[in-house]
Parts: sequence; C-alpha cells; structure tokens
Amino acid sequence: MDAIRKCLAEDISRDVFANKHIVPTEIQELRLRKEQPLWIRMENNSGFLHTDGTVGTSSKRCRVVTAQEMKATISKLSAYSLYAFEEELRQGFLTIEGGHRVGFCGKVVWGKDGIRTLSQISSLNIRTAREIRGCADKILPFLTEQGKFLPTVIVSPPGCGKTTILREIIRNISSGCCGRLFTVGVADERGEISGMRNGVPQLDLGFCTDVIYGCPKGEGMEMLLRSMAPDVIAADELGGIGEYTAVENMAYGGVGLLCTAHGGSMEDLRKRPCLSAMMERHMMKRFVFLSAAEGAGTIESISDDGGKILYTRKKKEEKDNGISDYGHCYNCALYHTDRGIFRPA
Amino acid sequence: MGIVIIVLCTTLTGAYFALRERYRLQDLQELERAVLLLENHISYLGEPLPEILESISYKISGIVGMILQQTAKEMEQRQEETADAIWERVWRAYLPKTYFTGEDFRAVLSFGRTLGFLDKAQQKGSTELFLREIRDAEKRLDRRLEKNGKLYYGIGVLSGVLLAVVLL
Repeated sequence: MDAIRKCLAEDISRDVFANKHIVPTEIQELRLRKEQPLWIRMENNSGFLHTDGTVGTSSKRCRVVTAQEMKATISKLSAYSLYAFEEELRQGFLTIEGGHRVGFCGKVVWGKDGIRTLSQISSLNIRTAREIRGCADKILPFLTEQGKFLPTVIVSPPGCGKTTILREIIRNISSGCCGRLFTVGVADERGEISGMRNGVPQLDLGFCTDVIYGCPKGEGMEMLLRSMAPDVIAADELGGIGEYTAVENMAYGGVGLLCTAHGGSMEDLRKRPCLSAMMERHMMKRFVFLSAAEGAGTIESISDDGGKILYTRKKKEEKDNGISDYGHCYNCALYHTDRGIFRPA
Repeated sequence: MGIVIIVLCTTLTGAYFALRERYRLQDLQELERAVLLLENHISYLGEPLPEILESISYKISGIVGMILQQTAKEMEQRQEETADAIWERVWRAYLPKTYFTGEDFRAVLSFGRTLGFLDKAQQKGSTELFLREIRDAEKRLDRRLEKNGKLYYGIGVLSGVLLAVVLL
C-alpha cells in the first residue's frame, strides 16, 4: 500500500490513507476521474469518498479530484518519467512498484501504425495487487499428477482474483508443494505478477522462480524455455494469437503451463481462437473457474480437459443443508471438501 | 614580515581566482559526462529517472554525483509533485558547494523543467540542447583559462609587490 500512498497527489493520499473510515489494507481499487468524485472499492464497502471522510454511494458532498491533483498523480505514478512508459501508455495501463496495476483513459493519439500514445488523461483506475496466503490451498491438489504439474488455466471475469491466485500457486509450487520443488519461469509482461523492482520481486514468488519481465508474453515464454529449463512456465492473461506458438512449444516440450484468461465459462474460452485451439488439442489439462460470489477468489469449479468436474462449489443453501464443497483429487486420490479431506469409501 | 604577508595574501587571491575557474571546468566536465549517460540510459534502456540517476551517480565523482544521488533518492520517495521541483530544490541546496556560476545554474534549471514528461525523442532533444550549452561553456572557460590562468597568479604577486612598495 505504501507504493500507492506515495504515488497519489499529496492531498488525495492524506484524504485516503489518513482517514479513520478507511482501512488501507482493505482497499481493492481507487478510481480517479478529473473533476469528478474519488471512488473507492474496499472489501466490504464501495462508493465515493465524501468530504467528511466517509465512503458511500451518495453523490453529494463528495471529494472531487482536481486537474492539478490528476497531473501530480500521473507524474508520480510514472516515477516522473512518462517517456519510460510509452509502450504501457499505448496499451492503456502500467504497473507500479508492488505490482499494482494502473489503467488510463484519455485522448488517443493515433499514428500510421495505430495508437501512438495517450494524452489528456482523464481517468485513472488503480487496482491493488494483494498477496493472500492460502488462497490457492483448495486448488493445488488438483494441479499435479504423479509429481508432474498439469497445464492449468485460471478463468474468471475481471476483478475476481486471477492474478492473486496465480501468484499464490507459483509461490507454493516453487517452494516445495506436493513433495517436490518446481522450477518456475514467469513471463511477466507488465510486471504485475512479481512487482519487479531493480531485479528483485516485490511480491513473494517462492524460492525457485525466475522472472522475465517487460517483454511480450510469447517471446518471454520462449526465452524462458530456451534459457532457464523450467518445470513450469506461468503467464497472466493468455489468449493472444501470437502466444499460441509459445504454448504449443511448451505443451509438446514437456513443460507445464500455468496461465490465466478472462472468461466465465468453457463456452467463453471456446470462442477465443488461441484458447479454443489449446483446448481442442488438449494442451490444457485443468480449468479453474473463479468468481466473486463469496468475495474475490471464490473457486467455482475445477474441471479437466475432458470436461469432467473435479471440484465444485456448493451454494449457501446447499451448505446449510449439510452439502459441502466437493472435489476428488487425482494426485492423492482423496476427496477434498471444505469440511476436510476424506479417503474414498 | 608585513610585506611577506601582503604579497602572500594577494598571491593566494590570484591563485583562488585561477583555481575557481579550473574547478568549475572540472564540475562542468562531470556534468557533461552525467548528461551523456542520462541520454544513453533514456534512449536505449528507457528506465525511469530515479533508477537512471541512481545508477549514474555511482559513475560520476564529486559534487555532481552527490547531487544526482540525492535527486534519485527524493524522486524515489516521490517527495514533490513534479520532477523539476525536486531537481530545482536539490540543486539549490547543493549550489553553494559547487563552482557553477549563475549562468550554469540557469541552464541546469531550464533542463530540469523538461525532465520526465516528454516522450523519448523529445527528451533526447532537450538533453542534446543542454549538452551543447555545457560544451559551449566549457570551451569558453577553457579559452579563458588558457589566456588568463597564469595572469591571475601574476596579477596576485605583482599587486602584492606594488602594495608593499606603496606602503613603504
């Protein structure tokens, strides 16, 4: 949170972080719009920041973000170096220290090769990167088979905790999960998985993780494959056509793949060319679906490449009636439920 | 004894003027090296200013290196709302410890105002302009030192002798 605190304009930083109504560690998202109220999303409360420090949905007496504050925030977010983030601005976002992602909106400067840059930035969306230890514990037993990591894709709509769970899985498998250490290579295009700073990951990715960052995922994955001999390669938000060749090389090269993708169901994935091709050729073996039903990072289901459901979340009413979340782990042949792990009868 | 002291004082004054110019030249040369490195880092590595300035500060000796290190530190902590505010504050604080003149300082501040918010091509352009200014100042100073370097000592000694004769 300290990275975000120091990157905001001084007055905004004070109004948000020295506010008795706001617990800084609960902030998930901050939205700054020029001459509009500041909007905050927290774990249990979302809304506009009011002049008295409270957060609510009423649009009266709101704390308005001035043009000067917007300018100062942009300057600080880019470490006073907008020239260094030309490529990121072209894509509409950048990742700051600590792995927090900042999205931009403004006037697009269009050139003959497409978007040149963004100018007159009017909105900012700061999404906090979080480490939640243990958030992948339920998933991990389903991702290995006979000591081998199964190619896995984590699927969810935006804001459901894909990157947080991806990071936690990386940390676990590279720290000795499932009885062995996996060497993990992370192709961190935007630096949001590792929060790299001067070559040191700001977020814990375990002991056996090598990170390549700042280059397109496809190229990064190929470089990792050639140079670092990883057991598993991880990347965030896969799905571009350009990444398919890299995935193919890994899938048939004996390297496990761990990635995330936007979507809500198998049908959504099938509609995307790269992911659909990967599914058809059985390159991915596990599909983990997330939602925000019980808070970000709720595991809805885990299925295999044949569509068989290995784990499913039960609704609250079913749980009240004694039915538990349920999953059968191939790795240890045990049943994993939210009431414990059981040996099959 | 009095005569010796007078001659010594005027000679030292002459030496001070000569050395001040020489030290200013050294500071300008260090600044030129720093700006050249800055330009290369921006063009080829595209790193943010705090990282560039910190890495350059280890390669530049003397007061200029210290100024860059302090600037990098304050930028890292985001102590001001803009880069030029930090640049100006740090240079103002360190200026009395340097041999730069008001003309050099104005060029430094003018360069600071372009730091950070331009794209790479424009940033390179403003760096080149600043480099030209530094090199021009160096040339002028070099010529002046060549011409006047020994003259300062000579004037110092002679004015001391003259004063002593007048006093006698």
